[in-house]
Amino acid sequence: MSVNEKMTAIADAIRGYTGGTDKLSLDAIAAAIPDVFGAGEGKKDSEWRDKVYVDTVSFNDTNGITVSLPFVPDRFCVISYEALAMSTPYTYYLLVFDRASFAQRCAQMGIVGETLSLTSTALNNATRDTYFTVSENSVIFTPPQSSYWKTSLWRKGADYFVFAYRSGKSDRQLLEEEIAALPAGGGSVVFSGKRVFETVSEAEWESIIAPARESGWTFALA
Amino acid sequence: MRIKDNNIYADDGMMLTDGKVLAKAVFLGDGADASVWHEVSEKEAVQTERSDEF
Repeated sequence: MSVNEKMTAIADAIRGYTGGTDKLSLDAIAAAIPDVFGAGEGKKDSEWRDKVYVDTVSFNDTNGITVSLPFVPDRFCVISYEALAMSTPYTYYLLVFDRASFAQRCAQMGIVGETLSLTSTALNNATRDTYFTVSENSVIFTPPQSSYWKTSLWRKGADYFVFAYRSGKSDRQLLEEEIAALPAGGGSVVFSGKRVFETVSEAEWESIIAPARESGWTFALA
Repeated sequence: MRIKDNNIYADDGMMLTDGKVLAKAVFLGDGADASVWHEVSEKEAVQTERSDEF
């Protein structure tokens, strides 16, 4: 590629970001660089906003937690933290929603559109799916052990971290990825039966979990 | 309670529990002990697991 062709390629790339069809002088190329950077950042921000939502909300006396989401997420987490003991300075509790159950959870919790309203009662009845403990320099994740109807330590006036994510993957892909990610060694894991059978047939489910069952995993459908 | 192959299914109005987990169906992993699972009524299960604590 000649120098002239390389410069034309650069000018074409600039026009791709900034619009227009006019030829660009070297000076114009130099002057356009900040616009290219700005256009690129704007594009990146836009892509990010379409996929991820992060906020901090306060647990309100009457309404619980309310957050307006810009999209329907694959995953939604509400995270709280409490100091439990000196040996485990902070324990974070995660309330995790998956996409297949999102509509059902919305209905249960009085969510209209994509505004999430978690009332005190809803939070108390929600499932604590997993939690992790943070010490000075490590994070310990504990996989779901049970379908406890317990969420701990929701406190009025406390701030909670919310995280919503949209991957663009299908429900089946998400289910398969979760099962494939189970560690070696076996154990027991609980899935929502409604979620599973809204996503795959029982025969497909058995096929998907077969390798994990052979390595000692028991699947309970709640 | 209905057992088919290595799967356990709860009867209508019942749930399966191993003392920690409540489930409508259990797909046992190789080597897992089926005898730890028994049925409880859905009403009993909710009373056992539900908490009024915040």
